[in-house]
Order: sequence, then C-alpha cells, then structure tokens
Amino acid sequence: MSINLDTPVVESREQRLGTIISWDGKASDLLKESHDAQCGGCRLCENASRGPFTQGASCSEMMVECQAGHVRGAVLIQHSPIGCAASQVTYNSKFRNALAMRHLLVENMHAISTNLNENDMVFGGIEKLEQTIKDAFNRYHPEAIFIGTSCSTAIIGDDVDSVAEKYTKKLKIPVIPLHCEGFKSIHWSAGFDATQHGILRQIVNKHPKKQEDLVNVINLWGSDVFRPMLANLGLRVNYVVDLATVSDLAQLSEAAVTVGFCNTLSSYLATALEQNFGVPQVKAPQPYGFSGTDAWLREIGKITHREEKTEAYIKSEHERVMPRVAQLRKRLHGIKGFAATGSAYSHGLIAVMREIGVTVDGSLVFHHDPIYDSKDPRQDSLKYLIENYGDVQSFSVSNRQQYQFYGLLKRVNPDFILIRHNGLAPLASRLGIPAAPLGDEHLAVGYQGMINLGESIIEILAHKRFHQDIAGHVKLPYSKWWLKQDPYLLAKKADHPGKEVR
Amino acid sequence: MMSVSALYANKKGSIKKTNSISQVRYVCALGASHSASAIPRVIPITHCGPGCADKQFINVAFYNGFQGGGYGGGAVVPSTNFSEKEVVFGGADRLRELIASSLKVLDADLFVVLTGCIPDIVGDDVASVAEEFRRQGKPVVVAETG
Repeated sequence: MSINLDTPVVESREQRLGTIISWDGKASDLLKESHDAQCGGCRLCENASRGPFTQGASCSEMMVECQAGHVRGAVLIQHSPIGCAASQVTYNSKFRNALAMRHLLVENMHAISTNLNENDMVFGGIEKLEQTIKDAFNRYHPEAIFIGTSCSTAIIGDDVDSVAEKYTKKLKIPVIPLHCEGFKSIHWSAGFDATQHGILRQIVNKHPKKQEDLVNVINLWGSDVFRPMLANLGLRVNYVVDLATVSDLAQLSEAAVTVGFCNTLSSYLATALEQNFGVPQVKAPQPYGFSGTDAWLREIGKITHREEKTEAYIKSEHERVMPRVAQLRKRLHGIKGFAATGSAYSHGLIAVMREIGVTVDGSLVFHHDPIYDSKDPRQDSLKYLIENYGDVQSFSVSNRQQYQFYGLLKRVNPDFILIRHNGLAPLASRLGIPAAPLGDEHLAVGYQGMINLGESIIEILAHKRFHQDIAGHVKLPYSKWWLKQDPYLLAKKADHPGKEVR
Repeated sequence: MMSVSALYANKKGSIKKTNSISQVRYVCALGASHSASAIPRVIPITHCGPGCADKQFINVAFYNGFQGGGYGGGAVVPSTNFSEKEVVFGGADRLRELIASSLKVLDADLFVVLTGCIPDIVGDDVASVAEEFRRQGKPVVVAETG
C-alpha cells in the first residue's frame, strides 16, 4: 500500500512497519523473524514484550521539536503544558551548535508553548492555541507555522486540525498540524514521520520544476559531509529537515534523487517523495564502509546518469583512504567495540567498526523496523550487515533501558562503546568503559568516515583509565539480585506482569 | 485593506503578555524527580508519558550546568511510559507492576512516586496504589506533580 497523504495523522510505525522495542538474540535470528513476520508469522511480536519494569524513554514530540523546530524561517508551536516545552532548552542548544557547525547565522530556535494549565484541561485549549498562532505570526513573521500536539491535548480532544486550516487561509502561510502525542506510538521515531508527513502535505511543491543535479539528503544536524562528497559527481545537496529553510523543503519534489544517512530517519519522507512526487530514492545499502559506500554512490550515479564520474571518484577515494585504513586496522586489531544507537544507524556503525578491524560482538538498538517503507530488500540494512560483515552474536532491541544495558555489556565486555542519545553512557562509565558520544552523526559516513571513526576510537581508548577510576568508586543503583540476572528475564516473563517479581 | 500582520499587531506597538511562552527556562513539577534523587538512596518512580521523565531531567539537570543523574536519577528513573491502553483503561495496574518490579530491581531506601499530566487527567488513584505497598511495609510515598 502506498503512503497516504490525505489524512492529517500519520499512520504509526508499528502499523506501517511492525516496529518493535524489545528483543534479544543473534542478529541473524532477528533478521529471520523479521522476514517471517511479514509472511504472517508472529514470533517477532511474541518475543517483543517490554515487561513490567521500564525506565523513562523518549517521545515522538521530542523528534518533532528536533525536526520542525529546526526549520529556518518557520515557527514550532507546542500545544502543550509547559513541561513538554522544557526541552526547548535542549533543542535550542543543539540548533545553535548545528548552525555554527554548518557556518550559518547562529540564532535562537523559534518555538513557542501554548502553556496549558488545569483550566484548559477542563475547558479546552483552543483559545490559547489561536492566541499563540497570532503571537507566532507577529513575533517571527514566519513562512510556515508547525503545531505539535501533546498527550494532554490529544486526551482532551482539542481540534487542532480545524484551527490550523482556519489560519492557513487567514495568514496565507502553511499552518501545519503535527500529531505527535507520545502515548500514541510505542516508539519515539514516530515523531520523525509526523513532521515529515506535515511537510509533505503542506509545504512540498506540488508543481515541481525539476532540478536534475539536486540531491535531497535527509539528515539531522551533522557536519557538511555530503555536499563536498557529491560535488565530485557534479551534484548539489538539499539538506532536510533540520536547518533547512521553508523553500528548501518546498523544493524536495524538484530533486533528482533522495538519500539518507539512516533508514530509520529517512524511510517515510524518501518513500513518500518517490510514491507521491516521483523523486526516486536510492535503494542501496547505507553509505558506510567500502562496499556500502561504493554501492550507494553507484546507485546515485545511475539515477543521475553520472556513472563515469562516480567510478572515477570511487577509485580515487579508495586510493586516498586505503593507507590510513590499513594503519587503523593494525592499530585496532583485537579491540572490542559495542554500538548503542538508533536502529539502522547501528547497522552502519557496526560495518564501519568491522571495516577498520574492531571486533563487534554486541549491539543495542533502540527499536527495530522489520522492514522500511519502500519494502525494497536493497534497503534491508540488517541483512546487508549480516551478509557482508557477518553475524552479531548479542543483538538486542531495548528502548534505552539502562537496567538491561548492564547485563548486555557484561556479556561481551567491550573496550569502548559508540553511543547516541543520553542515558546509557553514564552506566558504561561506571563500569569502566569509555563511550564516544556521536554528536555529529555524519562522522562515520563514507570513505572518510572510516578514518574519522577510527581516530575517534583511538581518542576514547586513551580515556580508559579515567573510567576505570570511576568504576572503582561508584555503587550501581541496581539490586545484587538483578545484576546477576539475564537482562531480558523480566521482559520475557511479561505474560504475568508483576506477579513473579513481587 | 489592512495587511495581515497589522490585523494582529498591538495598537500601541507595545508587547502584550499572553499565554505564549518561548525560550522556556524552567520545567514542570515532575522535575521534582531531580530533587528526590538528590537525597542519598532515594529513587523517584515516574508515572507519566514516555518522554516526560527524560525531558524534565535533561533540562533541569544536564542542560543546566551539565549535572549528572547521581545514584538513582537521570536514566535510572523508572517510568510507566504511558501507552494508549493506559490512557483509555487507566494506568493504576501498570503503576502497580512498575512499583513492584522497581522494589526488586533497584536498591534504595525510599521510592517517591511522581505523576505527570496523563494520570492526573485520566484520574488514576495513585495514592491508594502507593498505600497498598506501604501496608506491606515498603517505603513508597507519592506526590502529585502533574
């Protein structure tokens, strides 16, 4: 079934893709169960219970803040109590850093909360929403206004869609409702889809004038890696969604091709652009390691008719990076790594680590999509990883559950971990394991990415002693009993929640 | 004809205070989890949506002088992570199983149950759930912070 842009609410990831947030086993078994699940088998879901004990995770609304809140020239209204908007602090910091990193004018993020209180929970918050839309328009003169919903406005049933429609007509700019209440989806990556859905419906140009040398790159705030890389093929880059302007988003439909650095993030937007606007997406492995990057570039070269330039670039890059990669392989031989990141991104990082000689026996991913929106096997990043770089013995899906992370690290005893998103690194430190927080998500992309990641790993390994000192002086908050258990003991017993553990 | 922006601009050009807040510099009362976890061997249990506990901690602590989670704060904090099911049918049972498993998994002298907006809107009787545990001699107290 193709992507439906007629309704204001995006279909959730678990409905579209069968997303799960808990699973434990070998990567090859997860792959097998994912394929079976698409044929009607159910083992994947049976094994996917979250159990009675859970720690704070993330919500979809945070992903809306990080995407819709970071569109230049637009405003994000958070129709919410003030606590939801607390993370304006986080995302303002990320926004300003990202602008500086890309050499753009550094400014504050444009986000406003409607600041709902008890009275609004009883009588409805629509009046405040209308006031805030007017305030947003007057304060910022935006080219578009996004309205993110919250758990409370969804429960009390505020009709955000009608208000958005009314002000789209009145203000003559797109006023876009994004339905992103956290409780609606089991996984926060649904927030990416919510933002992208709104952009596709109300900003993307419906009468595109094709630009044959333009490539959409779906990313977050990463450094400017793709522009110089694709310039070698005579292609220009349109970075979306973060840090894009409203007109960058409008020209999404004019590009020759869409690519991403992580299928988790780009799946929905890239597929909708292909199915609804005729912009092909690159159906290839992700751009990590030699073979992944080769295949990815070749597919771009094929779609944009730049095969010759592509081959020349691949050849020169192999020659350029090979000597350093060979040194890194020697230096990192026997070192054990662990990746704890978003789903498809982890598949890429494991490939790069293995490419530069690091042993990877374990990984934790925050969720797992058995398939991506394109339903194309060439985008099956887990399959590509296993077939080209081998199986991963301990491959666990855990929605940032620190209590499970302890046992997972004990299983494989890594020398370092690669990590994105907060919460897990502090525990690794307490076990004496240094962590590299991958703040710049483009660090490991492409040929240069192998060198970048290798050098970062060498840097982190130098901190090992510091972390061992921490480990020698802290007590973990988990009970002696729990520290001896299998990390998935509680999740597996979840058929009878609470009873065994009381 | 009046331009659209003139329609909404304040007449005197002065800025009128409305409900709208941008550049938020505080968190909601659930941020009290950071106060609870600041007490030695106290761990908060949050009964709220999936993002609430992390949002309040990160912004009151990490992005406020890079404070860490300490012994039982930050990413250690148990949370019911409300799903649609609990919104519709109530979250008391879910809280009960979370408290029971927290007592088993975590090592603390006092657990402080804090609520977010959702349980307060759907009307979970959080105090009586905690009372059940106290009657069994377990150190569980409640503060409604939704």
